[in-house]
Amino acid sequence: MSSSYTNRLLRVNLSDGSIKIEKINQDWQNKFIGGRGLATKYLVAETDPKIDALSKENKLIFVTGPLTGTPAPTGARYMIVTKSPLTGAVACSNSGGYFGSELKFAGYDMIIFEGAAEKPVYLSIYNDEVALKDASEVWGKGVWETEELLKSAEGDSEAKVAAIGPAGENKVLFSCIVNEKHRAAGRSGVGAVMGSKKLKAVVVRGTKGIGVNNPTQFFEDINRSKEILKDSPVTGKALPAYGTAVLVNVMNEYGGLPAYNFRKAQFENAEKVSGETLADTRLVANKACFACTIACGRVTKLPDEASEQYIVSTSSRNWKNAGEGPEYENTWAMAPLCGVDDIDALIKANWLCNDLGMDPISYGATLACAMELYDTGAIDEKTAGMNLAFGNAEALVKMAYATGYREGFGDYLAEGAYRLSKRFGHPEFFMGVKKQEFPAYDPRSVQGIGLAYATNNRGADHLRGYTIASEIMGIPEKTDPAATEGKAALTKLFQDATGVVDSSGLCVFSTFAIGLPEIVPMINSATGSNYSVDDALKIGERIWNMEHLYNLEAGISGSEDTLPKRILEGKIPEGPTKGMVNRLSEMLPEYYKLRGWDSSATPTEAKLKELDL
Amino acid sequence: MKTLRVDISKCTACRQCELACSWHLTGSFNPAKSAIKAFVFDTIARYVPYTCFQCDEAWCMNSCPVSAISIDAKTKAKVVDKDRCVGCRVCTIACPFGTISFDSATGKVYKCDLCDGDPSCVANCPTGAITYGDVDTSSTSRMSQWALKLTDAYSVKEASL
Amino acid sequence: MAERYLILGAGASGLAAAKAIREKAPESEIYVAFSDAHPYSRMLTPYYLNSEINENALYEHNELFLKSCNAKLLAGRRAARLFAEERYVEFADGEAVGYDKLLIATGSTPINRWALFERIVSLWDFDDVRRFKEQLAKIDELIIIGSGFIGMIFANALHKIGKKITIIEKFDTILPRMLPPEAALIFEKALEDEGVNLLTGDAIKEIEEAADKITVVTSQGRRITTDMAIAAVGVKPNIDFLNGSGIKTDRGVVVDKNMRASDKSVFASGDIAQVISLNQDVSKVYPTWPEAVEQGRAAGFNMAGCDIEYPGGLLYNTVTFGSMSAASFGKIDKDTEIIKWKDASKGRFVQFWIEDGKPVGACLVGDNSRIGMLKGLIMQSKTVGNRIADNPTKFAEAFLLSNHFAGHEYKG
Repeated sequence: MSSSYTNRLLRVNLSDGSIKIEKINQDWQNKFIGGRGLATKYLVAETDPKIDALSKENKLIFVTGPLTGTPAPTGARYMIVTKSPLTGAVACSNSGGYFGSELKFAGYDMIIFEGAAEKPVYLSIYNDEVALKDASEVWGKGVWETEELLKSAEGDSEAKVAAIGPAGENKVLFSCIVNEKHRAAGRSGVGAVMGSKKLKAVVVRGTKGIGVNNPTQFFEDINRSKEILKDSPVTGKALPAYGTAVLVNVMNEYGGLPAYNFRKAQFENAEKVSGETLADTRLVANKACFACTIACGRVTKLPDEASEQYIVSTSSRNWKNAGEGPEYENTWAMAPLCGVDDIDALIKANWLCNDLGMDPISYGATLACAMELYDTGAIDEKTAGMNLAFGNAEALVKMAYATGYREGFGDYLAEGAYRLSKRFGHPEFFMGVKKQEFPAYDPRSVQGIGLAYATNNRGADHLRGYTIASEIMGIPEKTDPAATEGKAALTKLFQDATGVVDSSGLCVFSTFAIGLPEIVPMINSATGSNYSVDDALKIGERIWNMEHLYNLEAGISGSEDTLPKRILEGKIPEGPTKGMVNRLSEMLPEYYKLRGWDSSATPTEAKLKELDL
Repeated sequence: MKTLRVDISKCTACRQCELACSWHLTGSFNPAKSAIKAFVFDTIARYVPYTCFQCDEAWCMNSCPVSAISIDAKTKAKVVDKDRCVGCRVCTIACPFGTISFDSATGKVYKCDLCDGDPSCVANCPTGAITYGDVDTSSTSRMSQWALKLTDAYSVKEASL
Repeated sequence: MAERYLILGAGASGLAAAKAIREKAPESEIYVAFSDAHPYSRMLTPYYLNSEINENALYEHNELFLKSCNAKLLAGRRAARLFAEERYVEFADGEAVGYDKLLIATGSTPINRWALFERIVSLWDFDDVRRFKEQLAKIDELIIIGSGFIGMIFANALHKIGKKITIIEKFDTILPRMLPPEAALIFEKALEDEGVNLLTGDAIKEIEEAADKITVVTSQGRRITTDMAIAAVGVKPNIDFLNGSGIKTDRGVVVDKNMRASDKSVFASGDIAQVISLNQDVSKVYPTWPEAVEQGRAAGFNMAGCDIEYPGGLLYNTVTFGSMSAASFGKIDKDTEIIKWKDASKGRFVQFWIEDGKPVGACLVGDNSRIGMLKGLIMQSKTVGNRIADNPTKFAEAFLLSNHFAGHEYKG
């Protein structure tokens, strides 16, 4: 019977060069669906949570979902699952573009990389022809040039490339894996894991195609979802028009846009870097990932005069071409958070992050932390190598380069805000959880996201429990951002449901319009499975607990389910949300209770049994 | 006569057209076997869906030694009869636009057949970048315009036509 | 009275001309004369030989085609003599047919130096092919003399039905007019992997024919004994019957840009015609199927009163053996700039010959979609050198950009 699963995984041992094709564990596939859930199960089963993330004991998993590569709207996603060198927790980093679908067309659901190579290599996949090849020609090069060179070497302009840049090679703790030059598995330093394995890139081309189990039903299901996405004001209008950057003005007006390393919750120059400004002045096209009917991708171009500013190197990087981004998170981290209002510097820094292969959220947040250190005199111009005052656009661009190459002060920035702040004696300037920097929503004025930040398994993160949808955007229902009541249940619900979406191969942005009642049928008709929405939510809960158990074993205890002092006690100084702090203590105990965990955040025996873990 | 028209300013390179077309031609989701492809020119931010524009000259049809390619009575599309095709591939080198290709898995050639008058790519394009309409209207696609230019080489200068 | 068009030859060229004439001259009389019992597509004989198609399929297309052109068929008529001034053709059976306009599309015949040997055949005429097919069960091993397009197509057809093949080629590499040596070697490896015995840089010195076998002795001293041999060393235009007609011939019938011969009522196209190349630099014969179609079509339009300039000859063809395929287009001399990409382990090769930044020739080994764009790039003579130089496998992108499909003028 046909299915959109290929049911095959590639197991590549970089230490001995062996490549094997295995059948996907069907029992695990039934229990975890695919994507994030399935890959995490493999990680949990095959590795010790206590290992060093940059050692050869760590495994790096590329995984797709059952809907990846199908015409289900947003069916583009693949995940990178591994142990994070930034947090020591489980990392599951999601990316779009075309890489995931191409892997499916080549006939694989997943790739597991083990061990480490002695010399730089890349994996070349053309259907059944899989080989590890010498990457010495591209080691040291940026992602963009690497992609062009490897496509040329393989003689296939239709091959898709996922690669690390110098940042990953240099094991910048928040380096990422980039595909199609501008799509990234961004957070938690998965790029550094790839770099530690001397794996430069994966090049894939597939011509086998995939089928679905029940085509008639499948088309009915996806067409219904496509209609809903089209009619939704978010996925049908706002996202294609302004990208996620539409949120800059929204959050700023509300008083939830952290600025100056969370000293404030509004940015006086937000207009200059808003999604509207970007669309009006720098946007040349909007772009979609594979099978995506939303097309939130921003394609931008610098005006000629700006392309000459802050030149960082004479490398092949070309500021005159169109490039992608910035999105909301990147914009926020590198502009308002750092007090920068120069949109062109922002675009450049974002492109540098894409080309060097670095998470712009963590980069911006780490720079903001450095700027606060500088502002308070903890570091000076001599240490930093340049003026690091808040708002310095030149620093934004130059430090991105320095960080990717670990040059000068960049070597410290490359460690992330947690280690940076500790190094210079001010751990209180670290704005994040479990050593990962916060994303773009102030938890003092949005209570639920604060709980999500504190409890998300991969550290401070917005994508694994995006309560903002409800608290700010009213999807599926509006809740009061300033209230704590009901937020424990809301957060758990978002976290569990997101686990399903992340395992399906769809993009979370689809959930601005559709939900599990639409997604679960698509999985069923594509694969022949028979999940109900409740089954799926249970799977989401199972995934959550599995990740959490891994973290506990890795040594990340419940005491880390917390927020920085500035968030719990440092009131927002001004604006519409003046005086607010995050009232975590009003939500966390209830959250543990709903989760079936004791007060030390350990799942009870009963809960584990219930979830078959 | 209706034909596919492409407005490249609307294309987002989502490649739903490739999924729809490959499903129509092969019964699987396989962009590699799609007759239409969204070419991505990332550095100039242009995304170009490209396929056969059913040109008048029909080099593919003229070069076929077994009459495997014929003009569909309803849609006027040049359609490959897979049962007649012997896989000689002459059409693939005769077409100067490269819009007919050989599939080594089936041993036959494939091209856009306008889906019997209800093009799948049009139905599945989320932005309306690909539409199906009259070729004489002012929104004639670039492809058609260019097709007419090339077939100028064979256009007749005689007034009687 | 309606114009009478006489077409000699019912191959690719004659048929293309008949259709073109019918389109532009709906009331005219079209006669198509051919020497066989049925009009058939010579390109299909290999598929008939190995039973992929049956005998009917060979001429079904041509008969239906000519019927739809409302052409009258003169079967079994071999043209013997042309009286250009009087405007009639005398056939071998003594019959004469007059015309207002004549198309000579009688094609070519294979060069066969070994015609006296019973066991060496050139599978050109259908009757030869049918006879050969009848003996196929008794034939296990074959030698193919010549590794050009025709040799390869028969080798492929016979290999598919399990015959053991030896190919002798006098040049150092196979397909010498289609592929440069580097590309040919990739193709050769695929042949050898399939069990073909390849003897390149070798030629026939002697033949020994026995009762049921034939032994070939080569210049390099090899002795190969097989059941039969097929001569595929080239073709020459059938211009002999034009002796004394006053029509100018060289290697073929010399025609102008309207496919007109030296007499204004006489046209020629296909294997028999000698045209100016696309590059306007040589006058030669282009004996390939797609050229025959194009030339016939241009000739037909012009015979019917149009004024169409045929763009010029381009040598292009595609060849397949097993799962390996290759295509080549145009000028593949040594003297121009070359841009290439090769991965022998993948069995892929792409090469362009560039003059002044414009592609004048291209060849490709290995499967590829959209290969027709190579023809387009050469015919349009676009300056795409730079784009292809970075990565010649990205010719599709170069094609689209140079044709403004991307809405952006590529400035080289």
